Amino acid sequence: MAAKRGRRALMRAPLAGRLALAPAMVVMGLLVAVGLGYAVAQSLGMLPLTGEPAVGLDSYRALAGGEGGAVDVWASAAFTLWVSVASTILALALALAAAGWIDRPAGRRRRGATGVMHINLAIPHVVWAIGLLIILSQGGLLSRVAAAIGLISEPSEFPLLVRDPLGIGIILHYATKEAPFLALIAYALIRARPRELDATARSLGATGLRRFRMLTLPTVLPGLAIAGALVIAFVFGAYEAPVVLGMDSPRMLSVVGLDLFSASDLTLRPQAMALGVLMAAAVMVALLAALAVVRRWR
Amino acid sequence: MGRGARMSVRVEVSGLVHRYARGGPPSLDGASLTAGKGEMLTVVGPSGSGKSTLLAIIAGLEDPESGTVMFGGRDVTAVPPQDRAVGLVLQGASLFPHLSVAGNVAFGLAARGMAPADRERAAGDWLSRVGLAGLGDRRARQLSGGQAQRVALVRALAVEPDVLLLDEPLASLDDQVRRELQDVLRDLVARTGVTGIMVTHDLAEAMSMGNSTALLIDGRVIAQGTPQQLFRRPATRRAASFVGVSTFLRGRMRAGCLETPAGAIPIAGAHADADLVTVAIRPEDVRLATTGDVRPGDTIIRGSAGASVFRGTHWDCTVDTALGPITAWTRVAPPRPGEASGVRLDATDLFPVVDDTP
Amino acid sequence: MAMRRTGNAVAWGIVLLLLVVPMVVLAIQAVATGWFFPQVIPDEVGVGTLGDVIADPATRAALGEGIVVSVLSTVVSMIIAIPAARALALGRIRHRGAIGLALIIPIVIPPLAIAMGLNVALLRAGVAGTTGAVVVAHQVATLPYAILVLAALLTRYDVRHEQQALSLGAGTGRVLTRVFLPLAAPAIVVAAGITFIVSWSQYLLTLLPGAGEVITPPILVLAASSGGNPAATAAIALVAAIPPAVAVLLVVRMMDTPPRWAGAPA
Repeated sequence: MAAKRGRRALMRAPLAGRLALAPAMVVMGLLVAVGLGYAVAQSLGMLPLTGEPAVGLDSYRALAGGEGGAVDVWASAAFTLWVSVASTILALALALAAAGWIDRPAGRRRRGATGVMHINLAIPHVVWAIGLLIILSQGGLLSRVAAAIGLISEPSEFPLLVRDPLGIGIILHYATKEAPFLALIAYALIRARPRELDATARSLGATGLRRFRMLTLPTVLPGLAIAGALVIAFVFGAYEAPVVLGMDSPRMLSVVGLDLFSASDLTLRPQAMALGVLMAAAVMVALLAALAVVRRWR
Repeated sequence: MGRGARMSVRVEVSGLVHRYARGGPPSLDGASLTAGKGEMLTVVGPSGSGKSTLLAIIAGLEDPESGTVMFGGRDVTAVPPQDRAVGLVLQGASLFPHLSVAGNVAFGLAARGMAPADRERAAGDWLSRVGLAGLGDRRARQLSGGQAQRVALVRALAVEPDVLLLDEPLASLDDQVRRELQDVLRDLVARTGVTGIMVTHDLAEAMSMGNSTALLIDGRVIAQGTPQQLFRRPATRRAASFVGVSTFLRGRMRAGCLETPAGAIPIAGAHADADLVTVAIRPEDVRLATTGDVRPGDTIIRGSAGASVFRGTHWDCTVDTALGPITAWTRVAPPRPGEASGVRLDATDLFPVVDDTP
Repeated sequence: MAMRRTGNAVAWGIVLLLLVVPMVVLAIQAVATGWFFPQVIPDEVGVGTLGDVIADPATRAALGEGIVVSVLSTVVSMIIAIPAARALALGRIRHRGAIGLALIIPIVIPPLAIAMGLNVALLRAGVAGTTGAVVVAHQVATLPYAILVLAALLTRYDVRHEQQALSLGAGTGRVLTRVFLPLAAPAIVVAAGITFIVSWSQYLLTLLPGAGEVITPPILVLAASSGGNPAATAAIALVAAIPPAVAVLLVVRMMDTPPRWAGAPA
């Protein structure tokens, strides 16, 4: 009767209908609409802090042109995209490695590792970033270890890993912070896989790399692909790590945005709003496009 | 003891239509049945026929698209489940895992505002009645399947429902436990006088447990009657197939005989002439021509013996005849394949059925 | 076999490196009174800075504020999320996929955009800078997690128990309090724990709606990092990491231990 537990057994349950779902959807909708709405309004000049409303795309033009705070928003955008994709790819690679390691035929699930990964998830991004700063900076732990084994003698000889033009520190931050999250998803997917597939694979003699390719990858890749897209979007809009581990130029977009917002020159605010709106729009468009691709692929 | 027959109600279900998804196929397609006061109605049908949905609608846990449910003449179709005074026993017990056995039995009483001391006493009484005295403090997972099902039963009966609904309550139990529990169930239902509706896929169980049995196939009740009627003289071809009839003969009915390529077969009883009728006979009534005495009114249809299968209580011997293969039951060693043989049909065992196959 | 063992060791090594080392390093930095290049291990250690940080009223205020905000955010989110998760997991909602997607969107949209807009809205409403405003803003991040995690966990919940309770005469209230809450308690606790953690780490959604008046530990940490005292920064960072770490340990514990009445599966 296990089949009965599925959709067919869903008979009337109290507080489980559309009315139960409504408050959540309304609250969410309201918050997002109000937040984005005011951002859009201010970006279009409708709610100026000083002076008369002057509706127009001035702030967008200013942003694109780099006026005001000498912001090269295009360089920032490219940099942000680079960091988002690179860190996600790295995180996925680590998660896939973890998946391969977890999904061994021996089947002994390492409980301890998942516990450690859970703790990593709980640590706030700012805290993690500062930890990485101590490790990766030119006078930091790694460079000191390098000095201890005689690779370098001066801090400046150590490669620039944080506050560098490639954003290596930021990439490492999100790679190490998101990999456990992705690995846990992979773990859940592997656990949810029906046992028969496992037995079939083993009977067909799949071991090692072959097993990874034929069994592990198909199990985790769909879920990880979706999760990976979400991670890219998340890193794209992130603030904490970029501000700790990033340099002055190029800054990641959220850092640019907050700087514009908190600038003493209040006329820069609309540009901040415009940037925020554009970032939100970019992420939504990208997600919808990804959705369309996934749907066609199915 | 329960309130007795005067509190149990007659249940009338008519024209129930139900769909899981809007615009999808119906799970119930105009199902109607009746359970008399204090009667035990068994509803039997293949899986997917809508039996559980039917029960859920009677319990109030599902809303039908159309149709009515009446309890004692009162239309309860729109009444929510907690106001319907039904007792529900599902397959696999599904006792509340977070409550003790006694807590389970007392749950409905607590919902009715009974004082704790009274509830405890009542729960203890009911548990004793099914031989589980002293197990009140156990948890559900510590009970065997049979014990858990007994608890589920008295949990439903403790609230003195007007109707007791059982959804395949014995399906997950071993044969031995199942037979014991059938007795327990029959006893309790009889003593409390509650009206019972039990859904099962097991034909034998349906017939032994019920005063009345309804056949639910493809969302409709195609036949309802006493188990004997349903089993021995089903009215339609689909009902007959479900109760195990496999021999159907077709032809013209003239002067009380079925005209077939193998000759005219007399059918007992008065039958009007018709161009196309279907006549059935229960498998155990089909005998081999070579065994037993031939009596007047018997029809012999010659053929050659085909394969025979041993069924434990008898042999199934298939004879190829002019009317197609017909399977006869025989207690003695069957003829070898290829041997000349025949089947013997008694006129009183043949009965017409309405052909309701699609 | 030896291969497997070294493979294991390497894997464990990587795991530890990636997951634990930054925290260890923070701990060392917090107690190092002098830790300069090229010392791999600090020469001088002392808990002075750590003690100062813990005793500092600003730290305590931030911790307190953080706990208040996160607990309130969790409570508000769970109140809204429980019916919603029930609907998604137990009810017959159409377009479940679209709704799931709609719930994910607030998590992936850059918080900057929504935080700035909410800041304006809250200022106009005259409530910016209050704890309540921050709790409301946090819902953008916490509510989706609360709903999606709880709904995922509730798929293991057997709704037939509720049907049974209804048929026994229990009304909606009794079904929810005497059947749903006890049986779904572990799932609710896990979802609440995760919600707490999500709320705790928020930065932009606290900073902007808080208008500089609501200071939570992440804000304090970031402010300290631009100061000149690495030990103090590390100390504050460590302190900021403790409440969510405790929360996640409780969550993991709850996920691993079945409730009293469950025992071996039936």
